[in-house]
Amino acid sequence: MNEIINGFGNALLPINLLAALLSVATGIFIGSLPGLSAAMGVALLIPLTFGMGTSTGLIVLAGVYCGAVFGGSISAILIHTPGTSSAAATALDGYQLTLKGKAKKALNTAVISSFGGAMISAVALYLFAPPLAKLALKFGPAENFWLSIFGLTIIAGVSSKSVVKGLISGALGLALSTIGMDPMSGRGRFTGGSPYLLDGLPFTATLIGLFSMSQVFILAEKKLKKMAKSVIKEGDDEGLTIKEFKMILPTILRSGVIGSVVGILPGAGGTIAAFIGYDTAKKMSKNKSEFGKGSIEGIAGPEAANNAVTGGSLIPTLTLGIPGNSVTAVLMGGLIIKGLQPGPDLFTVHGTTTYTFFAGFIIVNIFMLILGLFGSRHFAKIAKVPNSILIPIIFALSVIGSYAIKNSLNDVFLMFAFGIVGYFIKKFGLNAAAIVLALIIGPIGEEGLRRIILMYPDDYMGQLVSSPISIVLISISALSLISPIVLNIIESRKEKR
Amino acid sequence: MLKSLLLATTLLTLASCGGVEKESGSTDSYPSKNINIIVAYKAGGGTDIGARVLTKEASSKFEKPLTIINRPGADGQLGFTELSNAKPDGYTIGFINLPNYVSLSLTRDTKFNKDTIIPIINYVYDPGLLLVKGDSEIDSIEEFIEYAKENPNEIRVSNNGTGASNNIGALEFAGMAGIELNHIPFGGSSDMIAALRGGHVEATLAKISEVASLIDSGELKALATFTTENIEGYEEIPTLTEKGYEVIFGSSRGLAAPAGTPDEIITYLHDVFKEVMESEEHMKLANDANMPIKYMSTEEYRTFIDNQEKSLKVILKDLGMIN
Repeated sequence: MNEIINGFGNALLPINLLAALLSVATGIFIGSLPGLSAAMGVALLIPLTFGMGTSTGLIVLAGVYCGAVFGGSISAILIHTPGTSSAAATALDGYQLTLKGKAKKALNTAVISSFGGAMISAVALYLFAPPLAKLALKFGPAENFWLSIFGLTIIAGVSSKSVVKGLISGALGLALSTIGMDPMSGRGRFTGGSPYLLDGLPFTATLIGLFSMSQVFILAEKKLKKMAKSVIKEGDDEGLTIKEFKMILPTILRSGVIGSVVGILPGAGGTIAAFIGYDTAKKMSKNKSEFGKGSIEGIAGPEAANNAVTGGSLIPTLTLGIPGNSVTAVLMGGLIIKGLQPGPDLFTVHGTTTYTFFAGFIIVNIFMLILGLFGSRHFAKIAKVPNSILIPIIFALSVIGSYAIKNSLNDVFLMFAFGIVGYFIKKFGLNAAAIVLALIIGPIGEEGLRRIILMYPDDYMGQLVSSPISIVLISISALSLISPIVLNIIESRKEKR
Repeated sequence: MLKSLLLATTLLTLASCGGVEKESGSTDSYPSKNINIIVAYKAGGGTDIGARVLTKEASSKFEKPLTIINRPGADGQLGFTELSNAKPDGYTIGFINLPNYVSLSLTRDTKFNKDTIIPIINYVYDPGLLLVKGDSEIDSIEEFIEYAKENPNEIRVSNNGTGASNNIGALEFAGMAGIELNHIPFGGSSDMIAALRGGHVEATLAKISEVASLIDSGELKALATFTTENIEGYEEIPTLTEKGYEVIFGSSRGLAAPAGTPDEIITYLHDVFKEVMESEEHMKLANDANMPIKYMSTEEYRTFIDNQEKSLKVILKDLGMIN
C-alpha cells in the first residue's frame, strides 16, 4: 500500500509530470500519422530514456504508447485514414460523423472513451495483475484457434451494409494472410520466390494502402470530376453533451473490460480488441441502425477497447515477461536495459519503480484527456482543409509512413498496390476493415489449428475442446452468431404487439 | 594572441585538408561521418537491445553518431543481404547472428554467405540449455533420455520455428542421444518459452539469457547445458559433453563489415569496440540486461564462423535439410 502511495508521490515530481506531458503529446502526434505506429515511437525513444531516471524513462514510454493509441483515432475520424491499425474500427463511424460536420463531437467521444478504457485497464493493472497474468499462459494453440474463430464471427457485425460483401471481404483477408512463411514447415508460400514476403504481407504498409492511399485516389477522383464541393457539411461546433455521455458510458465500461482482457492475451492486441468492442457495442445498442452512419457508440466501443489494451498488455509483460504485442515487446526491452527483469521482483524488490510507473500511466492518460479535449476543436479544422491540400499531404504521409517502418522501398510499392486494391474495394462496396481483421486473425487461427494437430496427432479433435477457456470461446462465438438473429425475432414480435 | 590565431588557422587548414582527403577514399581520416549499423531484427528484440547497449557506450568514442538501422524480415535474411551488399567503406557495418547467418546461407538461396562479410569482433555468446517445467517429474538428463526412449515421440519440445536455431539444436541432441522427440514450432523464442510455462509442451531448448530468471525462481528446471564447460553462476547444471553427448549449441552475435572493407578500418573498429566492451560501465549495463558477453578477436571470430559452417553442413545434411 505504501508503495502505491509513494508511487503517486514520485510520479507527481515536476520532471515526471513534464515527461508525461511531452511524451503523451509526442505519442498523439506519432499515432495520428499513418505509418508511424506506437511500437515505432516507443522504439525510437528508448535510446533517449537511457539518460533518464528509470521511472521517468518508463513514464515516457507509457506516454508515447497511450498517446499513440488514441492519436490513431484522430486521423481515422477526420480523414478516414487510421493512424494505427487499432483505429481501423474507429474509422467506420468516426468518418461518417465528420461528413455530417460533427468532427468535434466524434473526437471528444474518442478521447473520453480512450481515457475511460485506459482507467479500467489501470484498475486491472493495480488489482489483478498476477492472477490475470496466468490467463496469458493458459492460452495455448487450442485457445488461440477458438479466439480467431470468435474474431471471424465479428466480421458480420462490422459489415453494416451487406453481410455477404462483408464475408467476401473476410475471405479475401484470410486468403491474403496465407502469404508468407508456412508457420509449421518454414517454407515460403505465395512469396514469388523472394525473401521480401517471407514474413507475410507487411501489415502497416498494407493498412496504409488499403485505407490512406485509397482515400487519396477517391478524393482525387472527386476533385477531378468537380464533385469537390465539400462533402463535409457545415458543422455545429458541438462537443459531447452530458446526455450523450450518459448514453455511451455503459459502452465505455464494457469495452474497457473487453480491452483489458484482450490486452492480456498474447498475440491478440489493440486491433482485435477494437473490433470486438465495436461489435459488442452494436449488438447491445438500442440504436443499431445508427451504426455505420455515424454513431457515437460506434466510436466509444472501439476506442475504449483499444486504449484498455494498453494497461491490459502491460500485465503479462511485467509479471511474466511475455509481451502481448509489438509495443510491449519494445517496452520490455526498455525495462531490461534498465535492469528490471519482468517477474515477481518488479512488485517487491523494485516495487517503488513499478508503482511509480503505474501512477505515471494514470497521469499520462489524464494529460491525454486534457490535450484531446482541448485540441479537438483545432484538430477538427483538419477536416475542413480543402482537398487540394489534403490530398498531397495524405499522399506524402502514406509514402513516408510505409517507408519508415522498415526503411524499405518495397513496402512503398506494396502500399501503392494496396492503394489500388483499396480503391476498388470501396467502389465495390467491400469492407476494408473486415479485410484487416481477417488478415490479423488468420495466422493466429491457422497456427493454432496446425500446432494442435502436430502436438496431438491422434486426438486433436478432443484436445481442441478440452479446456474450459476453449469451451467459453466456443460458446461466445456461437452466441455472437446467433444473438443478432434471436434479437431480431424478439424485436419484430415486440413491434407486432 | 597572434600565435594562437596562427595556430588556429593552421589547424583549420589541416582539418579542411582532411576533409578533402576523405573524399578521395583514404582511410586516414576514418571515421569522418555517421557509421550505420544494420540490425537484421526488430527494434526491441534481443539483438537490437544488445546493439543499443553497445553503441550507447561506444558513441563517446566517435565524433559522428553511430546510427542503428533496423532491417527486420525473413529471419534476418533481408538485413544480412543488405549488409553484404553495402559499400565496403567502413560506414556501413552490422550485427550478424550465428548460427542463423550461416544456416540461412546454407538452407536458402541467399545472396550472402560467410565470405561476403569480414568479421570484426564477437560480442555476445548465449549458450543453450534443455529445460522442463519446474514441477516436471523428470529431474535429470538421464531420466529425460530414458523416458524418451520408452515413449518415442511423446515428449513435445517447443522451438522458435522449423529450421531455426533452437530447432537445429534439439534435432542434433535427439540424433546424438538416439531418441525421438515431437518438435513443435512456435512463432519465436518468447512464444516458445511461454508454451512450456503454460504446460502446452513438455520441454524446450532456450538460451541462458532468456531463461535465467525463470531458472532462478524455480519455474523452469534446466537439465543440461549445450556447452563443454559449466555456465558461470549455474555450475550445478551438468553439461551435455560431460554426460557423453558432445552437442555444443548457442547463439552468438558480433559485428561484421561487408567484404572488401579495408583492413585498417576493421582493425580500427575492432580496437574501439574491444575497449568499449571491456569497460566497467558497459559490463554493468550488459549484466543488467542479462547479456553473456564474450570477446573474440577478428581472427578468432573468423575461425569460429568457419567451424560453425563446417559443423552445420554436416548436421543439416544429416537432418535432410540440405543436399
